[in-house]
Amino acid sequence: MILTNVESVPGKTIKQHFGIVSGSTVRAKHVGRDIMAGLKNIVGGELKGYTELLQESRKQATDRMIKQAEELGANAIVNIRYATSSVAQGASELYVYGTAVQVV
Amino acid sequence: MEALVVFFLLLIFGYTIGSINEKNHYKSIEEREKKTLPLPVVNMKKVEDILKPGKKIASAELVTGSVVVSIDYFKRILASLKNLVAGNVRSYETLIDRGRREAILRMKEAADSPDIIMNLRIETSTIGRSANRNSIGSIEVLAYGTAIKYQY
Amino acid sequence: MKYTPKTLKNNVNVTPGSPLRELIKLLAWVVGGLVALYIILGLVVSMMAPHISLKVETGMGRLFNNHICVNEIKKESKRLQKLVDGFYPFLTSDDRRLNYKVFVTQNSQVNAMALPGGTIVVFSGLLNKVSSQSELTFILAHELGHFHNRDHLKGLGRALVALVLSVTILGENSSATNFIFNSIVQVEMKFSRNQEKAADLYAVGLLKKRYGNAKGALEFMKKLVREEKRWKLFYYFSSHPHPAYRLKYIRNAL
Repeated sequence: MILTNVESVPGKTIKQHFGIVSGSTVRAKHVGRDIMAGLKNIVGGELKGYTELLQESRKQATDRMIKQAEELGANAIVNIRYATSSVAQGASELYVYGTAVQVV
Repeated sequence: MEALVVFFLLLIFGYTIGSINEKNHYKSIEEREKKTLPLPVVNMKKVEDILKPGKKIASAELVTGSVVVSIDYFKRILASLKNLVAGNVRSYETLIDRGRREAILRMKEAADSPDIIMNLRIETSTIGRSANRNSIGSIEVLAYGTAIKYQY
Repeated sequence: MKYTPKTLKNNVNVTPGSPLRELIKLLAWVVGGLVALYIILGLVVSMMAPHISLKVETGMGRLFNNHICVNEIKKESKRLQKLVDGFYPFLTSDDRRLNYKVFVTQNSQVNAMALPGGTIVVFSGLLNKVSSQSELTFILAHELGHFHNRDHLKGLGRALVALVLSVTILGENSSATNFIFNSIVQVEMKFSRNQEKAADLYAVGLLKKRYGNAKGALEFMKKLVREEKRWKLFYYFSSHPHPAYRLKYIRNAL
């Protein structure tokens, strides 16, 4: 699966498209991590636990989007956009969407 | 004691009505998605990419669709518990999934029979947070794009 | 670019699973973890309670007193204060270090409380129930028993630990905090019933020392038994043991 965030796959031409595909996920870390992050907040710096959480979530969301595209028979997703939102406290919500296409 | 009874009643009430609501919502979403399937939606913005060869554009206009959805009491409790243990927060996933699909559907339905909707953007925002004691776990999803009609 | 309409059969954006089963699993985890944490912290607080210095305790007491002083019935407070002062010669030297003060407040609840700093709060609802002087002395002696066992600090400490825990973990406004706090209060009450028994027995001993008998204790308990029409199971949710049970062990102690 080719993933790009431009409107095409450079060097290839788009044969057909299947519309929007999207992946979303809401994930939480366990309480110990939350407390550690709270403590780390006092001194500042990177919150490793949360960096990890966001990376995991982003990966899972992307995987879900790829699964949708595969089911549609696409071999590339173009113009991918990532977005985050915050409904649940202490959980990360990732959303990714793009257009599923077939390129040759 | 009374607070506990009220809590469990709300939990049971929220679970039963909430799952019926969700099931009905998903049913309606799936039906309408099938109905609006012929209308393609893409998030590309270059007209040349989308335009069918030999066609000209008759009109282009902004279309929007938005929805505010909330989860039930039971799922809210489930989510706060899940926050203590790591993993996917399933109850919020269904909420967000329903919200986004509904918003896109409304956008498609709002459009006056176009041929394609391009440059789709989706915005998700939280509303009603910490406004009162039992914060409302609700989201607003806005989907917008440009509806294109070809000349025939 | 050609459009190929196709529908998706699976919804990949929602993790599969049944919410009910998830709830049960989560509850087991969370409750188990919290109970363990709570028991450990409770032990620590109980161990620390006897070592809180008098100065700290009176300082804590002053904080409470500002809230309690409202709606005070001065005349009744004075009458009860005299009764408490009468107990001084019969207290151990440790217990005598606190300066016991009685506040009678306008409140329909049938209750009395022992607060840090030696403050005894009696609600007027309880006074209305009491018909004789000896019953009143039993109630006051019972509260003095709480001070003797330092329950006023233990209970406070544990409740504080529970509150601080749930607020830091889940946030003030979360409904899970309410749920967990409620369940902790239930557990706390079960603990406190043992403390009530100890306070009752202390009161009986104190009355015997002062008057040579514990007439007030028996009278008051018998009255409670007579008036008690609630279902016995309801006492699972109550802070005090069932009156019939209290009457039994008071009789045994005599």
